[in-house]
Amino acid sequence: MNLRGYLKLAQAPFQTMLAYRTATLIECLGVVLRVYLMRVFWTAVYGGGGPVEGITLPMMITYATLSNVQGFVISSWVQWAVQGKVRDGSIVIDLIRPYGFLRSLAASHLGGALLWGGPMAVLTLVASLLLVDLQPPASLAAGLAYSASLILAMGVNFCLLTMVGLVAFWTLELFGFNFIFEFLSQFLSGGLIPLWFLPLWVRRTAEWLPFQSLAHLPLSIYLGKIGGTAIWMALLKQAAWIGLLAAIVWLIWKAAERKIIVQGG
Amino acid sequence: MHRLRVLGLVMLAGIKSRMEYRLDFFLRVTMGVVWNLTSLIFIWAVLTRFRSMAGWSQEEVFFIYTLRLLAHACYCLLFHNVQVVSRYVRRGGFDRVLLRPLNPLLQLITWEYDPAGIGDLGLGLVCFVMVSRLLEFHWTPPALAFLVLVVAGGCLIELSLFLTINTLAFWITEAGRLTWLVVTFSDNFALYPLNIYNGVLQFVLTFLIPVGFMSYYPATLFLNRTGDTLFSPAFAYLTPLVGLVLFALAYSFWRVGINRYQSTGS
Repeated sequence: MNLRGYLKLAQAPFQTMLAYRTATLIECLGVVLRVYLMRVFWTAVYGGGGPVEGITLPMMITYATLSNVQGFVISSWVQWAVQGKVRDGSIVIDLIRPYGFLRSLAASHLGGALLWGGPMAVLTLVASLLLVDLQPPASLAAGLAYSASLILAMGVNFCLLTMVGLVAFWTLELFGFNFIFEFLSQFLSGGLIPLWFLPLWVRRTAEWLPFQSLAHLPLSIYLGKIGGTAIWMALLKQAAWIGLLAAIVWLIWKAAERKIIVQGG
Repeated sequence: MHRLRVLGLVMLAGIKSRMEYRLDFFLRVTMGVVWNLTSLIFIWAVLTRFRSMAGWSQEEVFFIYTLRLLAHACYCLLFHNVQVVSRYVRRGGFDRVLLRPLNPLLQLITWEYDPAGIGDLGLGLVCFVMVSRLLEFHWTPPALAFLVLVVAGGCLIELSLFLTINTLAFWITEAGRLTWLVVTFSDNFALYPLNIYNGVLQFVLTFLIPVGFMSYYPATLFLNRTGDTLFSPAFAYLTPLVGLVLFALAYSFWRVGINRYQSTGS
């Protein structure tokens, strides 16, 4: 297998980040501002009161901060990469290159997540610590499980966004579709509001959807809301979603491949 | 008068050309709604669980949100293009604007039309009717008249902020990126009662990036809580004035920027 080729692809996002230093810093600053705003918001909402649904204010601030910061590692532009390639026809070049299209997407996504998202997350986290008190993970095991869960979340999001991206083979335009998708993802993942605070019917719905793998599960593990054997169940759930979604992506890709010929490049 | 007619025609042409692509037009309007719904659902869901924040009830926070949304909708509907000024300047497209016999700023504003503002306004009006009912407001003509002034003032405040940032493009190439930071402030920090912030931020949001005047200060007046204004109770009345003064300043700055403009030469 052509591992070196994939490694090169994985490095590209890091080089892009170095090339756009101002943009990078401003993006960090924006997230730090949001982290701070969320601290102020939740402090005002709790108003000195006790825990709600077993969540104390320091826990909630930790939740909101991590949710914002981990976005750097989990999020991806893979859908825009696909749209761009489909629109300008460069997808044809990807197809004649000696590597798999989906695998090359995965390589640059992972590269982006680790080499761009990682440093960005650390940078933002350090800056955030000046403004926000962060609680440590519930236990050492919880901390380790959180890291594992985060990596799985990365996989789930990659599959979801690739799915969104492949829609471009039929519509050529993702803007509206992606917008609605991100709207749903924000709420059903628990990234914006913890699922515990939402009405029961929303929680029930979220249970059956892949989105909670993105924020709710990893952060619940971190805070110890999910502990013991339930941790294994949560990780298994995330892994199962990756399997299922990857299969769906592969099927859509097979259909899309036939579609390219129709379009003629 | 002639100028206004020309502007009206150009703007209409912009809307028409957008309407050519029906689906895209419809999607952009929907996006305006959905974008604002995100923060609305966030506030609504959290306060349904927690009931109040810093002494403001769920309905009162909803009212503050609505005031900002109405002002923001007017800004988007009329002036959204100010945000692309830095792009025109950087790419040299600004030359064309200077050659035409019409105020450059007015030309830029009417250049393209973003239908998202229609969605913002739609949602804003729905919110306004709902919150008026929830708070059992009886709008008298003077109160309504002042509300219109407040919304216009808030609209001018947002316009001035974006105009100032984009005027920086005459000096700094990367000014467009700063827009994003101002959006963070005006989109997020103006949503909540100002008294949740610490002294430094209250000062910033009142005097430096005065988005507090878009929503919080006038809201204390409409909600009969002028005792909760910060710095001075008179601030509750100041929104229209702040809007005008800020716009005058921003526009002067813009004039300075234009005079400094040198084409990119590409």
